[in-house]
Amino acid sequence: MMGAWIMSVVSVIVLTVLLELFMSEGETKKYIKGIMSVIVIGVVIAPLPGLLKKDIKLEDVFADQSDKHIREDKDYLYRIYVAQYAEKEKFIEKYLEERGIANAKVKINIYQFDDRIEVLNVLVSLEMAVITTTDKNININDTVYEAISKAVSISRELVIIYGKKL
Amino acid sequence: MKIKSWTFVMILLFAALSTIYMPYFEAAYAADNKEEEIKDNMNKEIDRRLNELDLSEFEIFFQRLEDENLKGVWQSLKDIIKGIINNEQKFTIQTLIQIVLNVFLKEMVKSLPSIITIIIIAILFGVFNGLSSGFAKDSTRNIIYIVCYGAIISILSYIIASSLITVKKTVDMLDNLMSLSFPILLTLTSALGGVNSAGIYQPVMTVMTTMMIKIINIMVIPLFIATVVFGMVGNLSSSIKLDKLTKTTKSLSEWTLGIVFSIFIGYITVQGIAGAAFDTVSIKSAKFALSSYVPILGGYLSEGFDLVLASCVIIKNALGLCSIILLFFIIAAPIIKLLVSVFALRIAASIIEPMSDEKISDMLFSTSKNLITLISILLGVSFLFFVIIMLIIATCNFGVI
Repeated sequence: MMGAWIMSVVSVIVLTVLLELFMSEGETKKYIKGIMSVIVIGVVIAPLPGLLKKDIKLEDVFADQSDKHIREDKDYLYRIYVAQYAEKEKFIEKYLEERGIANAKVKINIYQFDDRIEVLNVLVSLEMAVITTTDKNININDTVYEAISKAVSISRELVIIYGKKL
Repeated sequence: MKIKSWTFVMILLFAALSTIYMPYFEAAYAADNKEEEIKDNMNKEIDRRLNELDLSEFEIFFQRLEDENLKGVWQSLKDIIKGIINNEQKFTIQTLIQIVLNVFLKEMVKSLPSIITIIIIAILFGVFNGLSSGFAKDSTRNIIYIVCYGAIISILSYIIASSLITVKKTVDMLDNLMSLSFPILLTLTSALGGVNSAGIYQPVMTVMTTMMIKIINIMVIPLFIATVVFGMVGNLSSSIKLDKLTKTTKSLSEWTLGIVFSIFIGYITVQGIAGAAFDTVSIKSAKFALSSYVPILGGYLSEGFDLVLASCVIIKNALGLCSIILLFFIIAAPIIKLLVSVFALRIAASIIEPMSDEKISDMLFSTSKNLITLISILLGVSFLFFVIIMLIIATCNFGVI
């Protein structure tokens, strides 16, 4: 902020000096000199209205300037999230196996926004699945949704179950 | 008859034995060399506490300091502390002045090449100006002036940049020193029973180390850079002058430093003395309670309490003095370096004034005045540190005063 102001004052003055140097004597030179001095005054006073208008909070003034240069490594974070959700998939598959649906395949699709990770949908493939329980009243959809909700908080519409031949 | 002879033999035996062992009989006196015993106990207590203190980080910081004068005299931090406790005089006034002179001359020699280059460029321009007044046009002279001015500015920027880097490094080192020594001193103060004082000094020190450094980095140093830059650019042409703007930014930075320092010093002095008064009363009342309400051993315990406190006080004061010695060695070299730069620039300005353009010598002189802001930053921070350490040494001497 301050650096920009200093640079602008310096560049305007250097410009003035060069113009003064390369212009030949005459009426034009005097007018140009006058205009350049007004521009110099304008540049010097420029930050003042900004300072006077808003309330200056102490935290903003002393905010650590070096934080601007710290950025998160998005790729690394994404890989971590993918690994985390792979673990959740395994957990859901194991849970389903315990509840009587063996060999189900779960895929959680995630998307990385700027500040968060969001689960787009959860695909459950029951093509190779086998019902191992002898309980006749098993409701596959409910069991699958219950398993998923234990690992991921997601609404029912985003859970897609396919391949049911059972 | 037999009994009588037995008695006679016993008496004879007794007489013979006492004659043999007579030289080994001594008079038994009550314990008399109390003073030496107490001194001995004290030294043992001090050594024990010194070994218990965790000074490893402080030791690492000490080893990293690259001062030959410091390292030549003391090899480790414990050396300094033991030397202070045993009252060894390692430095006389003469050796200190000698060290200062040596550093001064070394820095002078280092800064000579740049100063001589500046003087030569300015003199060349002055000679050209004087010789070419007949045949060269005004614009040619102006261009040559700008070129010479640009060359001088580039050399000057190197001097100013290196001074700024030195100041930043030194302020960082002072910050390190403060964050290493304050916790140990506060721990010792609390161990003495000065809980109120430690509670008052703790936030003050945290605020000081973070806020002071931030204020310097965010306000004072940018204002200093602005002052220097405007001083250089304002003397580029005689029609556009930035004298008053330069003076405004300079006074802004000086006032900021002055106001902030005064507020800090006033606050900690008042708070520190008040806190120490609380603690003195509480410790005195604890000792009174010990000696009055504990039967038989009360007085003995109360005096023993004094002994333990005294050893703590000695170590605390020794550590405080050690921090001040380190402080002196840290800031001595940078301040001398800055003084040499200021001095050299002024000499250059005075040499250039008679034979070259007055704007060049004006610029050099004003730059030298601006460098004094850097010296005041260093002096201010170290004085603040000094005041806090002195307060801790002077006000928390429970059991001794």
